[in-house]
Amino acid sequence: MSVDTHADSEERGVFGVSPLLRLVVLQPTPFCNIDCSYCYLPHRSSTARMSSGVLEMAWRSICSAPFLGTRLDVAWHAGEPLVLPVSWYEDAVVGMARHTPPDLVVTHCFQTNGLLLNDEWAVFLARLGARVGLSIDGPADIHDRHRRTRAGGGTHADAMRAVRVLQDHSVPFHVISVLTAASLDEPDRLFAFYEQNGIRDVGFNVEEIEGAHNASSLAGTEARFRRFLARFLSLVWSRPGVVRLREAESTLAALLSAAPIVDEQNQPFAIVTIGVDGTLSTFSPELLGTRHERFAGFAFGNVAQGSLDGLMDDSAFRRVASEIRQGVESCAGTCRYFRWCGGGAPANKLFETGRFDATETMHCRLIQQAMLDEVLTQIETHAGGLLVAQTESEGLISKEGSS
Amino acid sequence: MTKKTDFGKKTKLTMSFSLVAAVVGAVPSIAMASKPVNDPSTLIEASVEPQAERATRNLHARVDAAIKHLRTERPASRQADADIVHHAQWRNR
Repeated sequence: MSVDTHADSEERGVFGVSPLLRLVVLQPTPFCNIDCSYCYLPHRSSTARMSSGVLEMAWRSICSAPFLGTRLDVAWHAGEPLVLPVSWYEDAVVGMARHTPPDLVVTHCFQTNGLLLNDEWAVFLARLGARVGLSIDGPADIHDRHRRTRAGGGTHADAMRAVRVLQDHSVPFHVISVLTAASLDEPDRLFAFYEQNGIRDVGFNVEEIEGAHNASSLAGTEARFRRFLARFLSLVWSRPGVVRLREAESTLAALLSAAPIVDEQNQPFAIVTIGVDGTLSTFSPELLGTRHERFAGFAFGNVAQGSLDGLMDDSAFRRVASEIRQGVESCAGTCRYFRWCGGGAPANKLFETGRFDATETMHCRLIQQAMLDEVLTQIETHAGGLLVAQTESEGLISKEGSS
Repeated sequence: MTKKTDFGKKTKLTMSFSLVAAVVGAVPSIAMASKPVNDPSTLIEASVEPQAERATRNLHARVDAAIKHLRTERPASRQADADIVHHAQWRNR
């Protein structure tokens, strides 16, 4: 659903689409109880927590936003959400419900490292109907290489305990694994790990150059990454029902979509991020709290100042929006994958190239381009090779340029 | 699928994964390929076409064939597109 509320605003439909808010990222605290080596969050040692007053102002501004639809995801994120007690969230959810429009369906989402997940949390998450994700990078040696405590200890054992707690309580969950260079030689071990632990739904993130993390072990590994992906996807396809890979499924959906893909990260107000102190941002959630030499910051307002659409008047917002739009237009004009990508993530463009109006990044080469190529290969392979054979015989594909 | 929570708010119960499962779950079982698009206008003149343009046309030809195959095998999967694509965009870190 599109809501046309800004008759002559340049930012209404920066890319020809009216804004529709689908995801709110709320930062209950920036604090994280562990210290992953690839974390992009700059303030993860801060123990600040969102006050009930800020939360109420934030939620009221969300619920009165003109571009609100009928469904909204609320992701409690940008720190480890479970460091605040269950009672904090119980109060938060009750308070939010007072201002929630009756026709708005809200899904609460928690992505957690699992270290603090216990029976009380499992009961709460089940009662809330929350979408729960655990961050586990695979077997202990891969996981503990990067996901460590501040004292340097491993966190795998405690994360796996969280798996058992959720399973014991029959709470559905998915696992997000960050792929690093250490993962790329281990597709079989990763697949076996998920299978042996009853982890059916998996998402792959890549170690990104972003925010406080300014280098990635995946730089220059595209060929290895493609080999990893090809092997992992072949296991997914050949063992149906064992592991569902988020990226493969979303790529299939993109292929089947009647309309070109739009990346919400480069659409203003499709995603709104609200910091612990009420600061407001949009576009890539990773922008909140980060800095860049070319910009004063990416906080475009505060919930205390009024409505969300007032952000459109912020000069910093307009400058960022304009540069992001130019980047997407450049992608549209130069990238053969644009139809199934939508123009890429602004945060990755900025932190890899220094500009929002850039085009190709390592992130999109791995997550968009390699993924689409390898999913196509799986479709072709499991169609008995007939697709490729027929298409080649008809002169539609030349092998050297097929990927 | 939705359910009424203790907080009196309708909350979506299923995950994005379950929405897309029907799509990918069917793929490994596909045994028969549908006939790919046969459009003479897409024939490639490899000797004169620049590499980038050839790569683009190759990709689009592969995608066209894959889409036709997927739609033939599972036309209903298109219904979940909006939800699937939405959840694909920003990945919780």
